Amino acid sequence: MKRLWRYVLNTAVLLACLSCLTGCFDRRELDTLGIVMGVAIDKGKDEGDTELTVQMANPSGGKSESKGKASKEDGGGSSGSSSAYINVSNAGKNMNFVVREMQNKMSRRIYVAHSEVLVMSEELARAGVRDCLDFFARAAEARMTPFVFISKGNAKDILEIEPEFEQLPSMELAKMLRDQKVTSHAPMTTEFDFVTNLMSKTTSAVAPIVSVINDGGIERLIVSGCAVFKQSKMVGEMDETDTRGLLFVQGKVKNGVFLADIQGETATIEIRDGQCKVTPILYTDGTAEFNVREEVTVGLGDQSGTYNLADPEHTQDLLNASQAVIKSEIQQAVDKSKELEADVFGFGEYIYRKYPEQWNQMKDKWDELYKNIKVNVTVVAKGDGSGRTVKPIAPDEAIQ
Amino acid sequence: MFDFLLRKAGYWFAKKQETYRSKEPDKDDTISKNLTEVLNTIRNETIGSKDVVIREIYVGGDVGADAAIVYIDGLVSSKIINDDVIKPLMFDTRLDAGYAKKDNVITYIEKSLIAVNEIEEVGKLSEALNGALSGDVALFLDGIGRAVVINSKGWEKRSITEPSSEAVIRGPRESFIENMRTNTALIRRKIKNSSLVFEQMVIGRKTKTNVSIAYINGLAKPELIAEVKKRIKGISTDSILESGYIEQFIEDAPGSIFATIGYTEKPDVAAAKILEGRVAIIVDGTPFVLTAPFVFLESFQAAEDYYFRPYFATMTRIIRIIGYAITVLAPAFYVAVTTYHQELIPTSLLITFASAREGVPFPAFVESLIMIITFEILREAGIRLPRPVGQALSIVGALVIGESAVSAGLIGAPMVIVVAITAVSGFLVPNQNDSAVIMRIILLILAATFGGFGITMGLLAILVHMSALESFGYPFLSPTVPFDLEDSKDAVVRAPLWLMISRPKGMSEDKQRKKYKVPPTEANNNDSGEASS
Amino acid sequence: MKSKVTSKQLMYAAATFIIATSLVTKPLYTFMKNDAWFAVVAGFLVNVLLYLVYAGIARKFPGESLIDINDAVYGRFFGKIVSALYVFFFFTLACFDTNVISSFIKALVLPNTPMALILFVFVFVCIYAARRGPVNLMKFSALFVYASTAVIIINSLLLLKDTDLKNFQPAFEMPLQNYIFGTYSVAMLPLCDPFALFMFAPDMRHPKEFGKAMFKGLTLGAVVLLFIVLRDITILGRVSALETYPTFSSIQQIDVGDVITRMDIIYISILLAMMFYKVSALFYASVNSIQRLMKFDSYRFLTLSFGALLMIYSLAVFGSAAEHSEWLVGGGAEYFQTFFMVLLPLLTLIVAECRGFRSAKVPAVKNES
Repeated sequence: MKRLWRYVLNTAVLLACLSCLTGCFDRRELDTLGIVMGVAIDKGKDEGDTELTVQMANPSGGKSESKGKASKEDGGGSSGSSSAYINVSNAGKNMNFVVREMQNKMSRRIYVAHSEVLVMSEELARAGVRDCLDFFARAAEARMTPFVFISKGNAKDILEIEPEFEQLPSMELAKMLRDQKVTSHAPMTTEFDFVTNLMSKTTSAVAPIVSVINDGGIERLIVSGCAVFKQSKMVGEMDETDTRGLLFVQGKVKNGVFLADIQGETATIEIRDGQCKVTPILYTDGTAEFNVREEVTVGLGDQSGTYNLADPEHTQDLLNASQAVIKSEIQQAVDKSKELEADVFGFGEYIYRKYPEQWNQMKDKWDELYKNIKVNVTVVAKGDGSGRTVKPIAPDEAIQ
Repeated sequence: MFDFLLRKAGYWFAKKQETYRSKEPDKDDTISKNLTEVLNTIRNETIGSKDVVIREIYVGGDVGADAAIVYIDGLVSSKIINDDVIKPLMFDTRLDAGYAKKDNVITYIEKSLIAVNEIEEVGKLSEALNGALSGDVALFLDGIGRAVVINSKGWEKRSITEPSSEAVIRGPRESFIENMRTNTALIRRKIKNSSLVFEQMVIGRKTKTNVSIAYINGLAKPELIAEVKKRIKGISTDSILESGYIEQFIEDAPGSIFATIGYTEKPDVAAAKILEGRVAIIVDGTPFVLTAPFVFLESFQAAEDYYFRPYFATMTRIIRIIGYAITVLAPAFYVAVTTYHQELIPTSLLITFASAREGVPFPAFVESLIMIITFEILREAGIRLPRPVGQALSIVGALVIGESAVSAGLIGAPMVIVVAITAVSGFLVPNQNDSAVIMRIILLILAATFGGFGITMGLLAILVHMSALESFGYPFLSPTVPFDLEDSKDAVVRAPLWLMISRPKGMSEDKQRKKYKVPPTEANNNDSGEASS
Repeated sequence: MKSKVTSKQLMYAAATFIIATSLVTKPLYTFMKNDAWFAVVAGFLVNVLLYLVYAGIARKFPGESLIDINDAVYGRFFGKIVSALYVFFFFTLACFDTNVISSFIKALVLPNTPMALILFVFVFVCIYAARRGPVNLMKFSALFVYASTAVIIINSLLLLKDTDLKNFQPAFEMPLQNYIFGTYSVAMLPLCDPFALFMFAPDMRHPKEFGKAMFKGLTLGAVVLLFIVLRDITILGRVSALETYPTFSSIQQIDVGDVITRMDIIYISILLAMMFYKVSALFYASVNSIQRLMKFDSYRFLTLSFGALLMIYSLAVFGSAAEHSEWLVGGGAEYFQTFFMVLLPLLTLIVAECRGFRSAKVPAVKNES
């Protein structure tokens, strides 16, 4: 009988332990989540405040035909016409506080793990972004995969532009940036890259700029150029060409087009591939020189006129022109960065890797030293075909 | 742990059983010399069952030379009894009324008179009756206290058809039937080897079922054979109606959800297993033959794997393993991912799932549970329903029901797909269906309470449990868990036949399955071709 | 015939121990930053010397568990004291590892679940595994090593496009003491945990091969650790110092064709499995030690009570994750391990040598569990 008691007691204890399973803590049903797809941060109206807008996907809306028409047009209630997304804003001092307090306004729990974009307004960027980003780097739920954008004007407005192809503006924006590889006019910066660069003492972080343009009556987003940061404050921007120069030096230009003037005619030249090697040279007097060697593969996109650029004899013209254009783009980027006194290329890091001891003395003064660095740009272009045709569309006699 | 509880329960019940078991009164088992007495005893024993026929005859046609045959109608072939037992006794013998006093009457009857293939002299009434109950005819002679049991079995049996549970595309389509002798014959036809041994025993107090153990002497380990025999002989129960009874009595881990003894309905499968050194247990009355030892991987091996070429066979096997994983994990995974780990779903899919779940009243776990139970109900019903109706209630029917449930708002659409995939994958490995169903539910509950963490810990616990299981001394998860590269040639992949040189390690005495044929050269010319062993 | 542990299984078990701790490699980067790989190589070399000590002890007392060796070497009184110290050590190590994995789960996977529940589930399965016996535990060591290595390699392949070889530079430009301490840290922390496998020696089929198996396991584990470290450095560069769980962060970055994303779940599962294995083995080692120390017949009845102790101890051992990090990184972890895994065995070897135990034919004390 004593043994029986033991078993009974054991079982009772076990069952008692199991009773705490009734909570199933951490359980989140899908229909209790507000899936955040995009986050926009603006400077708040009050002093020291930041305003946070989250864009959440609305799963029960915008399913079949409707492309997310704003719900204020219809009275709501009919399922096919409610919006595919909902924007909610809240303002306050610290990001985590703002996010958490936003729950008071919503029936769903904010869930940021799927966020695709993080847009910050230029105003906020110029005041300093570090405090806003701390929450996103620290929270376990928030991954560092969304893309970071700086918006001209209010970040909130960016998230309200009607998307044309996607269901939500955030997804549209994210996809736009992914497609930037075709033109290489904006850097694809994820939160991870951005934060990594912010942590560096000398390298400047960059983020693509997004703005709203009026394109024949329709409001569209356009992504081009980048914003330059120094110590988490935005200090300036680089336009399309400068940005591409920057991307050239980073070796991230794999596709793009530019115009070249050859023999009085304009041709569009396609970049098919590009690689870059940067070699730092440090002189004993402390001046630094960088040899930037860019190797690109170019091809003929289209040409005007009858000067046959596809002709092997004329290839050298093509290549020369390409080299000149690319070199000038890179030089432009370098000049702009010197003007902003921001080391966007990470030249400081190159010196650190090669001359670590000297770097220790240099790094505090890098801002000043940066103005005086010499950058030698060499571009080597290789030809890669000219498309389907081997001569321009003209009778043979007219072609040169 | 379940083992422990079950054993405790078993002891408790066994103790009670000792007091309740009916004491069978001792009977007088001798055959009396007086025929009338014997026949009366028999009538009392069989309580006047109408199918017990007692036919009294005069030996040699001589009045006074009494004899009687006892048989069970329906079990015997009347032709044999008429032509080969009664006729010789009545007409062809020179015995007369005083035959009981002659010497060697029984020997004379056995060896010169009754032209039947099996005949035996018995001294006990119970043995004679057993013979009669088995379909033989028992011959009682007046004045002689012994009986002769003559083989006359001739009952109706099913013809050899396609197996109902193990359909194949390529390979023999024979299946075992309920008759033990036919089954042993089917195995004999596959293995024409004098070392193939069939040992026989009678198990079951009331049913007295014949159980046959088949093995190849020299291939199967003596310890294995001894252990199997020991366990079977240790069975003490009233009835053995199917091989499942024997399986449940002799298996290594009755408390585990995994079966450690395999079964098959096909003779070629049974023969292949015997050739690997295993022991087959054939039970009269069922077409399902047991094989011991059994490893988990065998449930993924189908007979056709060996008849097809290696690439296809390997691919099919991998699909089976994946199918088993899906059937066990799919509902649990779905619940865990949608409830706890939403960050793992690609974003667009997440929105689709979320919109599918809008308006569904139940949490994902309850949804899954409802769907699984519904599917099990449908499956079971589909087996029991008569043929024409059963077709209608097939998987398509289940899906249609699922669709309607979705429209009604009871469950979400992704759930239907998940359960459909689960169900269909379950049929890939029919042998393990019993364990799969239980594991599915356990993992589902774990997933619902602890998410992915629960699933992982559940799988780890199952792994520990399975790796401790042994089937007749052979590790249950070989060749994966005591990892053995050579044995893995038949695990996930199916190596080409010319590479399958050895039998599974530790399973048989003779390791070499096959000797390479040495191509003829001058040196080997006087070799007669090496045959595979 | 009772099955026994083969030396191959032991080797895989040793590798599993090392890989388990390697997957949570935060402390390495704090000192060594992007020269962590050097620490691994140097630590490995140091451990080779250390394992010679272990092999020496194993050779003198083949097939004996640590407790019996202590009894033989130090005499009955001191032997018991030393054995008690070892019990404490194994048990504490088990608690540390339980704490590591539970905090990991609580921080990243199930933030709202009370720690006690997570611990309960985890410890429950570990107890079950320990009860099933040491032979059983060793059986699937090979499986774990293959699975984890495959996962690590696949993850690394998927991350190939994010690697940046430049992250290795600058090399070797930190002060020398960093290197020494880093090497010391690596040598102690992941690489000499397999010491606990001494408690499995009595169940081996060929006890003489214990030393060789440990060496092979060490090599295998060190290679995998090196691989992991190299990969982390190339991907994370210097950010690795920021993260609490660097390997985990690097896996979060996997994004191939937008389809193969969010692979962390595989990493978490593997980590769980490895830690489960390590905790089960350590738990068995400690409970078995107690059994041998007290000369009980079996250790089974101890598992439940000690399992509960394990749970409570794990809860209490660190105040917070920050304290834990501090402990690991120069706060005392290395010294703790050094005492038990270097000094004591060294002492044992020396005393054994002095007292004249040669590669002995001492009959093993039979303790069937």
